[in-house]
Amino acid sequence: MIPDRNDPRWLEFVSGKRKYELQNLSARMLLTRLRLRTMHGDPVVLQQAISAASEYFERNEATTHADVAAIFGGAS
Amino acid sequence: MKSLKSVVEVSALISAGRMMLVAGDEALLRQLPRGLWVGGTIPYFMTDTGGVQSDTQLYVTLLPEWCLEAEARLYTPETLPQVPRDYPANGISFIVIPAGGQAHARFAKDGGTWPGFFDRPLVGWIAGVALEDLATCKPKVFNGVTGEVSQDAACVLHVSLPRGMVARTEIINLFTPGPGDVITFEGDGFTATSCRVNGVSRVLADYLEERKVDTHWPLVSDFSGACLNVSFQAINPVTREVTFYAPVFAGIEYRLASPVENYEQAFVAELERREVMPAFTCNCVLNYVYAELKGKKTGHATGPFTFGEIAWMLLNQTAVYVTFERLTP
Repeated sequence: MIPDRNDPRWLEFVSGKRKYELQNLSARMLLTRLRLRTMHGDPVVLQQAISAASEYFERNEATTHADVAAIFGGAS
Repeated sequence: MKSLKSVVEVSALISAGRMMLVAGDEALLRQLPRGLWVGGTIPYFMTDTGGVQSDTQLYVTLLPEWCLEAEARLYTPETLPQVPRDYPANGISFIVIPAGGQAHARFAKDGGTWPGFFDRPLVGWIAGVALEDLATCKPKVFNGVTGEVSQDAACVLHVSLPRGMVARTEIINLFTPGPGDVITFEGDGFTATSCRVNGVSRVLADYLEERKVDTHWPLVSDFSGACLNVSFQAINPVTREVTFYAPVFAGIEYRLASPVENYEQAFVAELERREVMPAFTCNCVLNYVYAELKGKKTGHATGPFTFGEIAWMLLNQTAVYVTFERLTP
């Protein structure tokens, strides 16, 4: 299950605080592009990045189970 | 089914209502009837009998007959950011962009920042021409539905898939970052004069020449586990500007690639390891030239050799492929 956008793990994901083993090529590309945008720590940009990442996983829920599990673990 | 076809054979398939992607010589593409196809110029192909250059036959990727519907559109450099808004709810979008124009540059530099860009599969190629005709011919893209031809707009075929079917996009990149220096850039672009090598400011051309770098091998970056290449095009001996076939990005760390000794053999081994049967494949014309793939085979991954491969981002010296899968309930 994809967590709410207020979940602190989203911030970890888009800000590059952790490394993830992602399976989907598009998820890998998206993550790197988001981290380029968020590298200066602007809170508005961070929120935009969280929205973009969240929308990506919501729209690709059927094909990104493994990546969601890698980011949020089994329980969310 | 053989992968290269005559104009007559392709015309018959179009007239029968088949949905397809077509790559080939401009004069041949102009002879095709209207129908559910998009295409782009390029005369290099990996076929089931090996790598060839042809200006008498076309390479056709027939999309499965169970694909529901398709919509073909041209996007100017100004309207390109609308592509993600037109993605099908469940489907895949195939894009062909002519090399050298504003659409090519804008897509490559800015595409990754457009809202929703990565939300659906977006794959395709940069249309080109025979390398010996670079000075005299312009690459073109074709919207087979409307009959439009363009040398600066991108053509996209948005294909809807039935419920329960998905398209997966993957790459085969045999190049990995070498163990050497980390190279970074101050800005995004297809050219660079200065860079930082392990954090120290350098003129990139000087660095490459001092190190006697073989520029047949690309720069490789790590996009969260995906190795992505940027290939060298030229070094201007006067201005010291280095030109690339895809943009470099500020904030990304690049390394010179480790050499690949036998591309053909390594490619087939990787394809067999993955046990996939691609529905669409394209590879890079630089691999065709540098790895001398004329007459050599790369397994059942056949398709055009292009001036750039697209799997969302513009890639270099990389094979892109698509597979269709039924989702398990």
